[in-house]
Amino acid sequence: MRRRAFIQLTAALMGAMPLSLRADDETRAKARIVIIGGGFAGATCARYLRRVDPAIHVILIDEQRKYLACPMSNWVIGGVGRMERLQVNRAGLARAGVEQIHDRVDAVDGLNRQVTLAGGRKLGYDRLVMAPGVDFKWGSPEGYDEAAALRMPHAWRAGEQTVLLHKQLQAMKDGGVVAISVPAAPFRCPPGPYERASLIAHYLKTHKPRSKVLILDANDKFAKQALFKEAWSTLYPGMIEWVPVTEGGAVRRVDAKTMTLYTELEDHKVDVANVIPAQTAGRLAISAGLAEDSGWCAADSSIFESKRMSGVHVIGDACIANPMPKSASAANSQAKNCALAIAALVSGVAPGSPSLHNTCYSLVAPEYGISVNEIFQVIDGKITLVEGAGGISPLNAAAEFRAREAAYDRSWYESIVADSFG
Amino acid sequence: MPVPIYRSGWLGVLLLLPPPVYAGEPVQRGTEALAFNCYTCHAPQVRRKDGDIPSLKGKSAEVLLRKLHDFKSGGGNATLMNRIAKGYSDEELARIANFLADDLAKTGPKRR
Repeated sequence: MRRRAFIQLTAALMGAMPLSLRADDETRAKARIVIIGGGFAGATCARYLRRVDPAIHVILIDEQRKYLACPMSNWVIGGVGRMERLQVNRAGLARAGVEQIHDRVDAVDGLNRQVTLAGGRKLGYDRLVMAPGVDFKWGSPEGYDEAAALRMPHAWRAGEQTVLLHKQLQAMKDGGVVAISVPAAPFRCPPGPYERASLIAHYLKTHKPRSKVLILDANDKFAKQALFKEAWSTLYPGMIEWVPVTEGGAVRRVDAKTMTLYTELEDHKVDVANVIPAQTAGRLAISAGLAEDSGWCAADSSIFESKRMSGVHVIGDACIANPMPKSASAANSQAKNCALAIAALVSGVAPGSPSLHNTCYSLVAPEYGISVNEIFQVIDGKITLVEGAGGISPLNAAAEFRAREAAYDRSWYESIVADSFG
Repeated sequence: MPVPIYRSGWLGVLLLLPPPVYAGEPVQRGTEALAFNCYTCHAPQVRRKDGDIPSLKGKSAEVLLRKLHDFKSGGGNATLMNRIAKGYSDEELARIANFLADDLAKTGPKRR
């Protein structure tokens, strides 16, 4: 309680301070919050900050004008969705009064509370929100670099890579082998590789039925495993082979020229290779000194303030929020809680306790959806699963149930995009 | 002339802030924090058709709360809400229902 009292006192002092002044246009605002990264985490935080307190000036910085969302990209790869649906419009953020800057951030100065843009312009902040997502660890597996990705697409960020992987499947001969290499956890979208295997199998079953999907996995278990395995044996018998790390599944090295994946036990020469590389928090989080040795950013569980830099919050895939997964849904929930906490702090009020949530749907076939849900609360400063709640869809469910969840998957996507981007 | 916080001498005070962890205190999840999570799947501005995740608009707090209790007890013909509702106390569900009914009444007509 003494800690809380101290916070309240400090926060009250902050509240009594004169209103900050926007340097550029002299409009009065209660505080200036700069958000770096305009994906699900950053956009949601920006939108909800404006919603909770319109007196807060919110600046969202993202290099890219257009955002391609990743959650539905497996649909495109499996030939059951169109690229256009991944295109997210940020006009809703402008309507919410979020100022947007499309530029690269070169440096974060936590001591003087300012960021430097590529053009040299410096931007001060009262609080900074880092939502840089993930970056790839090139060279993990060995031999996998940007050039190799043109032959062995990762397709782990929506865009040309998504289209490339789909085109490779179209061009492959019937009877070919498609390999998916999965890095050791943690990585963005834990059920993603297995949804992808499912939808690729769906495409192959329809167009090239003698072909196979080989999952080479650096892990010994995976998200929604029981549900995926049940679905695979029903829908795609004999088509999907999963090799866990315990059976030598981890890919150590790749050779893009010969299309070969090397595990400790075997060399797999394949027709299509989807290599998902190991990942870290986005580069800027690392260069700013926010990341641990693991490559991810430790943050307070309640307000997501960095453990390494005060006044800086880290949300979304880049932060360590175990047991929350690195998903759009988790990012969306963290962002709302972070927005509420920041709005409280700049108003001189102690932030309330957060309510964190995750819902992830996966599509196994166009009319076959499955889901997982988790509800969290913060106990003793740790994000903790609420026992007896959440969990995966039931096993042995009726086809009608799976079809309903497939429809909800599409509906979920439309909703989370609207909720996050306006 | 007012000075922005980031350029004022208060920065030193901010840096002294201990991490705001309220160890051991009972968990009281804030109403907005609880209810905002509903909008991830039930965003009010999305037009919904049959078979989609249902809209919550136009429903009274009583109707919402009854539905949440149905879900919590395993009924309500749910796929997912039965799993979700079990994660909250009855008191939290009541606050969620009241907030949603109130908040959704304030949002304007459907766009798009």
